[in-house]
Amino acid sequence: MTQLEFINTVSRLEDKMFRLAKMMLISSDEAADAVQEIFAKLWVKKEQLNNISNRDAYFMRAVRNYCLDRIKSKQAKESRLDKVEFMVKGPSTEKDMDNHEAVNVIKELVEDLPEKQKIILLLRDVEGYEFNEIAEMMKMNENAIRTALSRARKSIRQAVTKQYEYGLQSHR
Amino acid sequence: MDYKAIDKILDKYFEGNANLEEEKLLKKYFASAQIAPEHLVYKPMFSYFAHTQAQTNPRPIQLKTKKVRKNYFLAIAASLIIGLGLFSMIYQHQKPTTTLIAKQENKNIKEDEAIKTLQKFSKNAGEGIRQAGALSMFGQTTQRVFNIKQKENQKKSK
Repeated sequence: MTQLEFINTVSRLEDKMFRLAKMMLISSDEAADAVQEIFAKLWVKKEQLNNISNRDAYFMRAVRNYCLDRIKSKQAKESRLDKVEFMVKGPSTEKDMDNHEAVNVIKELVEDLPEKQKIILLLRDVEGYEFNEIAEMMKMNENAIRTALSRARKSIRQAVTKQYEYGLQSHR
Repeated sequence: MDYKAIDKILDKYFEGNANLEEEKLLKKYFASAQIAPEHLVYKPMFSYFAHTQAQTNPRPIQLKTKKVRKNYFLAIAASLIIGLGLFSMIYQHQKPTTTLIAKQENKNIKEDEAIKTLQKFSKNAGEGIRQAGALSMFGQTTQRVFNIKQKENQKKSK
């Protein structure tokens, strides 16, 4: 990989990598550190990165492996306790306020999903990757990806539907 | 908006069978102002995806600059230390000789004082010889640092 190719990859993938790291590590600070460290490490051996068939998959897998290591170490376990607040732009109207709260509810639901499910959900519903790409990133087959994705989406639906019905009842 | 079509796509979506195109359509639909009441329950889910997608890396990525800077400071620090070392060594060497010469020139000097000074000198000389060994080491190291600097300068001029 040439310097230019590498720099282009950085600008194309840094946000995606940050979001994946944040999904896994929760803290924005740690996620930014993770992305910086991964790029610094790969920069040194960029010449060896020529025979990569899928760059996105390679870099996203690097993020996942890095974060898994991080989570295993005690440090990450400690900082996972102080969850950083979701920084959505402040609500301006009451309607926005409702939506803002509802979005935070979803965020918590997603964070409570099993590790693989929430990563797959992010890769698909936020990053818009094809199933074969996600399969390469996760080292799983496509059917397993679809199943995990369906489970993740359905468990959010279930929780949301329950809350929504409860909300309607309390309004009456 | 065809709500029945949306219903169908939603079913596929939850089964993990919708394609990216269909999912894009859902995202558009839930970002719009015309959502069927029975679909409102899913709105926060899609809002969450949109919010998350808007998040960006807050810290700019730094490549290589860090390392170069480190070496640069190391080189400065090393040359300072070596310079100080050389200076103090030369200073130490010169001091006893100059006092000796001064005392030799003075014709009123007492003998035992001269002997003491000579003894001091021989001690210092012994130390000087030992330190001269270290000096060659320092010479080698400075040469190395100068080589690095030369290389860096060559790189810069290129």
